[in-house]
Amino acid sequence: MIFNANIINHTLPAVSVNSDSNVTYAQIKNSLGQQVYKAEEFYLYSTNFSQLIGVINYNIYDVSGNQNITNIVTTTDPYQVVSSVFVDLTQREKPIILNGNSNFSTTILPNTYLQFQLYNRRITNSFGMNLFNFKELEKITKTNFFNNYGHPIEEIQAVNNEIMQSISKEKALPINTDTDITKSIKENDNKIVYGLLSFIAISSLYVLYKIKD
Amino acid sequence: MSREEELALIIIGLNIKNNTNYPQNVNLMGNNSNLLDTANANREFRWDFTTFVFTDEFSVSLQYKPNGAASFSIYTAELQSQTLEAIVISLNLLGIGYFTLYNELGNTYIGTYNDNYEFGQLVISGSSLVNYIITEDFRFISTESGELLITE
Repeated sequence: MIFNANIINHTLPAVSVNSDSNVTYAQIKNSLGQQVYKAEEFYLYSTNFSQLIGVINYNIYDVSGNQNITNIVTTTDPYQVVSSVFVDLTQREKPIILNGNSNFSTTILPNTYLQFQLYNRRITNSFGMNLFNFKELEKITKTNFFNNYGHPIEEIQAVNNEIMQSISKEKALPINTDTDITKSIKENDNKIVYGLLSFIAISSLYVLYKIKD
Repeated sequence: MSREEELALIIIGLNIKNNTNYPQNVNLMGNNSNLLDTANANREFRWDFTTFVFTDEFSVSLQYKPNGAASFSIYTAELQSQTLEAIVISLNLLGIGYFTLYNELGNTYIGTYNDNYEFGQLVISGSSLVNYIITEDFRFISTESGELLITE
């Protein structure tokens, strides 16, 4: 049996999603990948209490396309009155990372509003974690691609120490120059003193010679 | 203080509202290529199943294409049971948005919202897939003339 599609353009979307800041939801999505976040906590608020009880699926794909699904169960205290809930994500076995290759999925109840806040730490894409694979490839192809690629940290620190020492030596040079100058000034002063003394001695001898006459 | 604690705390807040009279699945915070994220889509495609009664149908196929594409592609899937819920489950395996079964003003619909993809005819038919039971080892050989031979 064939069913033809009816196309209806509604004024309201089925599910509207808006950011509560100046940055739009589309801009947030576009930034993922460049900006990587580690979610530490959820805050959920809804006018419908039932919306707070359920499951939020966290899906993440790795570079091979493998999907890993984590079910985050949200529940409320039976005695709570406030229609909101915090969900701690830090104690989970695997971190909740938003990097563009992950997403959250859940079900929103009919005509229900849900405020969904994520408390994140901004982290960076790790570089070097996958170099092991290249290293294996290098072994197989015998290319020595990673020759002179870099140095172990201890070597870098040792080189840094040498550089620091050479810098401090260079800095010490002007101090030696100053010492030379003071030394030269002192030497000049001595010459004047000797000159004066010899002048006094000669003049006193001359005076004595004149008195004798 | 650990390295992580020194990093900036970023709060991402989203206000989500289901504007329909039936539950909606949402998929959020993925990338732009995430076909399941149809948030803020206004265009609905729906098929009226009010008068439909199952007889021997075990297969569903659906025409779909990205906006502006010249022709439709066809997705086909088997039904696990002869129910409208089974049709929805099979359609959701396509991975383009979410399909939902709902009632409105006495009519029964299967619908989906999507602004990036277009959907065409939905066909419910007899099983298009054949179940093979392999009892022995066979070898498939393609000949130069293009024929496919099956040998033991």
